[in-house]
Amino acid sequence: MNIPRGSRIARTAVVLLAAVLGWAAPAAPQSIDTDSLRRAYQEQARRYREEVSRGAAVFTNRSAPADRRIEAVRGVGAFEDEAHVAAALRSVFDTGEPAPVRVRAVQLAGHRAAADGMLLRRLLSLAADTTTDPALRRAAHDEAQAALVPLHAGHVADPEVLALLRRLARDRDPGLRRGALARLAVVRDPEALRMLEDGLRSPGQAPLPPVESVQLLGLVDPAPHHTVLRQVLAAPPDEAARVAAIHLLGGDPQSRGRLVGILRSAGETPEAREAAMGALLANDAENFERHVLPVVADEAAPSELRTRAIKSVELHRTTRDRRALRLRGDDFDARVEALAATSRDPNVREAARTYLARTRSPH
Amino acid sequence: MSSPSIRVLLIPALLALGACIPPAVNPLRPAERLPLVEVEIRNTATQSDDYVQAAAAPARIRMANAAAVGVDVPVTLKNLTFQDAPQLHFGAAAASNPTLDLTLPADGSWVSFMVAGAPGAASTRDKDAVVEVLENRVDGVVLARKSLAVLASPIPAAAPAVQIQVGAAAIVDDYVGWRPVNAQVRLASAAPADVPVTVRNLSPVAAGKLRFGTSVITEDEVIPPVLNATLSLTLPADGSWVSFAVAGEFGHASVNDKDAVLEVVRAADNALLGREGVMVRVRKNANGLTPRERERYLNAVARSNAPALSAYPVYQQIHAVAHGQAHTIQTSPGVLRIGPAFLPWHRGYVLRLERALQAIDPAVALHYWRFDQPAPNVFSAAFMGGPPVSGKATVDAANPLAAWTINGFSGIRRGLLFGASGTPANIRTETQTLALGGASIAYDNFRAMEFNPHGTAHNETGGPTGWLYSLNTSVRDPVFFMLHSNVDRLWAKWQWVNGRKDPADPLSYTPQGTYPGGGPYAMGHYAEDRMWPWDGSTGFVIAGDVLTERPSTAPGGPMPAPVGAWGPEPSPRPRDLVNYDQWALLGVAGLGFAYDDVPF
Repeated sequence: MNIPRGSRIARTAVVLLAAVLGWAAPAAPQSIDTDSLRRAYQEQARRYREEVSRGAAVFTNRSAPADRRIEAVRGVGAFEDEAHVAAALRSVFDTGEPAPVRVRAVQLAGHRAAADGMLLRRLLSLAADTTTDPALRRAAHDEAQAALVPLHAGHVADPEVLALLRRLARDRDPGLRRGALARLAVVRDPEALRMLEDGLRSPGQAPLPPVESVQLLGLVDPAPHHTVLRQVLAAPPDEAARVAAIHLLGGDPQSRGRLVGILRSAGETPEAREAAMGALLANDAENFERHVLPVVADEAAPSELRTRAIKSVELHRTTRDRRALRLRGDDFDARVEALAATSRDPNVREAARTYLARTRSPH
Repeated sequence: MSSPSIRVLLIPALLALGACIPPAVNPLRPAERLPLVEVEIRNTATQSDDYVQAAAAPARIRMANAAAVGVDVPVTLKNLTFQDAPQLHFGAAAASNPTLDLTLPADGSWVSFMVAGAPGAASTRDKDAVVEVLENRVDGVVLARKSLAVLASPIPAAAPAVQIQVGAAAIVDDYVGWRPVNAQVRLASAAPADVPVTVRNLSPVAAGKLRFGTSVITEDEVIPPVLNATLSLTLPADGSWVSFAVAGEFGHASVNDKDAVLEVVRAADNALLGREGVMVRVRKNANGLTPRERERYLNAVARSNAPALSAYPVYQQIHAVAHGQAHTIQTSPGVLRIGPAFLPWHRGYVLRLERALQAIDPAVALHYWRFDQPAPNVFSAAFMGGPPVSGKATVDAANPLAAWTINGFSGIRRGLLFGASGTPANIRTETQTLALGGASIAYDNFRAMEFNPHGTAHNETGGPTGWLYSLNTSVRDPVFFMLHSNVDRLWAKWQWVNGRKDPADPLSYTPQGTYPGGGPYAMGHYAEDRMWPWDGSTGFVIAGDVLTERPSTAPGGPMPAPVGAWGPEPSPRPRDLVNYDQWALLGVAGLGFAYDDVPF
């Protein structure tokens, strides 16, 4: 097919511009000149590298005004050149540098912590140093945390890094406490888990709001914390923590009856009832239909709760052995069939009809 | 361009090499061979008569590789879900039901059935009606999708009729990206003379668009064919096959299955001889998906996590212990073990899940979350979960993720520090990421992206009370795979922009060779090393050598051999996953994926 060269270039240019600017490429009636597209990306990268180089020259010039140094690297993500990185890291740890410069330096060079364990320690030390500018502490912490995504998951850990995180877990800055405790909780650090549990028992000493403490205790496996979670359920510091605990008690046999009661109780908040429903779905799937049936049938129950219950059973049943679906309908089926015709709630009627359609015609 | 005689010599070699590729296995049950199914409308192999009306037409189905499968296979014929298409009815005698259960016999014999348009059904374009062949079991996979059309008017008679084949013989691999793949066409029956034809797109194009070219092989190297909007061929009178190349046209991906239709017309008078529907299936920006594409994706992901399939939980098991196999980790105080294989390992890992999803719905691809741009459609209650409440992503009741349960928890734990309409703070942009590599534009420098944007995206999306915050728990959140699809896309784009696809080139991948003993990198990270878990290794591969230590289990087993000629091999090495196009590898049709904004 012959395409006029001029119009082809014009259309390609539009697409290239869109691609380079990160827009979704508009539909092009003719083929895209991918060689030109490649050159456009190469040119874009080249211009960015030049921008970085120019910016680094200004930023690493300690005699330049701080605001000029920071402005020079406004569009720079990070330094890659070894000399620039080294200069930026010198600024990070130089208390003679203005704090805003040090913050920006951390953002430009802190990524090296992913390849340099000693730098990781230094950044965490900086974050833990309460005499340091707060913004710098947070910046150092954030860069260290990006390096810690894969680093701390192994069974081998750096005792010094652990110690620094534990120090941060007790910091006055709630953001630093939160990040440190999260990183420690996910590796099941006993000291961090103890802090979180103790904080739930003694709210005045809690390192985090109760709801976050509960969430972190249950991040990997809530089973070791069922005792304290039951206590939160029985005597909640606040409703958010109570709901968070409900989410995590589905695997606790002692709590099963309580969860069913919460699910079915009109006196409970919709959030608590939904949390109980989710906990039962995740941990007692075989009996789930029986647990939710009274809720599904209750025209006074919240619409969202009833429709979610029907939907959950539908998803549960349509991923089971199809031969089971062809057996004579059970109580749940019979009730849903009635609701499809008679429920006063249009959302429930719709959910019921969808349930019937999908469970009775499994494909 | 080589002479025809050289092509004649080389094509058998190519086919022989292709024969060395392991036979396809079921992605969800890798111990079983995947049945390769043939469906013939009107009991002919030609697509020229693949039309039905309200009156039932005969059809038949069989296993093409029955001897290898060795057992009867119960299947259900049905219409597609999550695609607006004319509905078909099926039956043994009369075609009166939207589904039909059959058993494909182990001896490979044909099973007859009847097919018709459902009352009121009518095609708006050719090949928009689709028969889906689904294993009739709770963990059943899709075995085939056959496209046809429902016409109210009389069936057009094509003379002569042709048979079109894209990819291997199985129709379950009729999915193309930007990379050319083999196709072939022939006259369905002997003719008095050769027939010159033109291969082109059905016009108007619905969404997916194709380009065509000759398969060009030289004695020195395999070079990509020149692709055009049309291709002229001559079909021999004796009915022998003529090969050609087909690829999706960059920028014109499909939206629905079979919406890319190639047609063969007689050159002399443009008389239609036959059409075949395929899909230009690529990984797209998840923020721009259509509602149907989102439904399809959600359904596949949710089903992959269903107890009967138990596919998804295995990925969580793998990643929870992957540590030094796939990442940079700290092995001793102040000492980091750099993980160069981070990118190829995750490429294989993401691909493995994608194929499992495609076994559930072949029209699904593992779309990416472009984390340096706002993605409000991704982080919505109707799709991957909206702004968290009490640490859980909000999900609509009708969303299949509403019943997401994993590791005893219902729902998705997510922090989403940047909000549904923001972007992670201080995350490297695509421009900044693509500029990585240093003066020599080397992989060894590019993989700093593991820290930022990868690590930053994890922290900001999960954290700190959400699953994505840490390697141990991150896969529990299904957004993990969209995040890593984008990580892989950035690598693929960097490779394409800078010509870094040659796995033997240290600029494309470092370190080269095999584990030399004593490091500096761990075993599994060298280009020629086999990678856990696909190599099945556990514990110390070399007694006492900590750099060869594996986790105590290797969940999931080897990479299941896919249909057709897609790579990688069952126990891939980093080098096998560097060149995702794998054009230079004879007999291999690439890894079977592409990105909407990264050309071939």
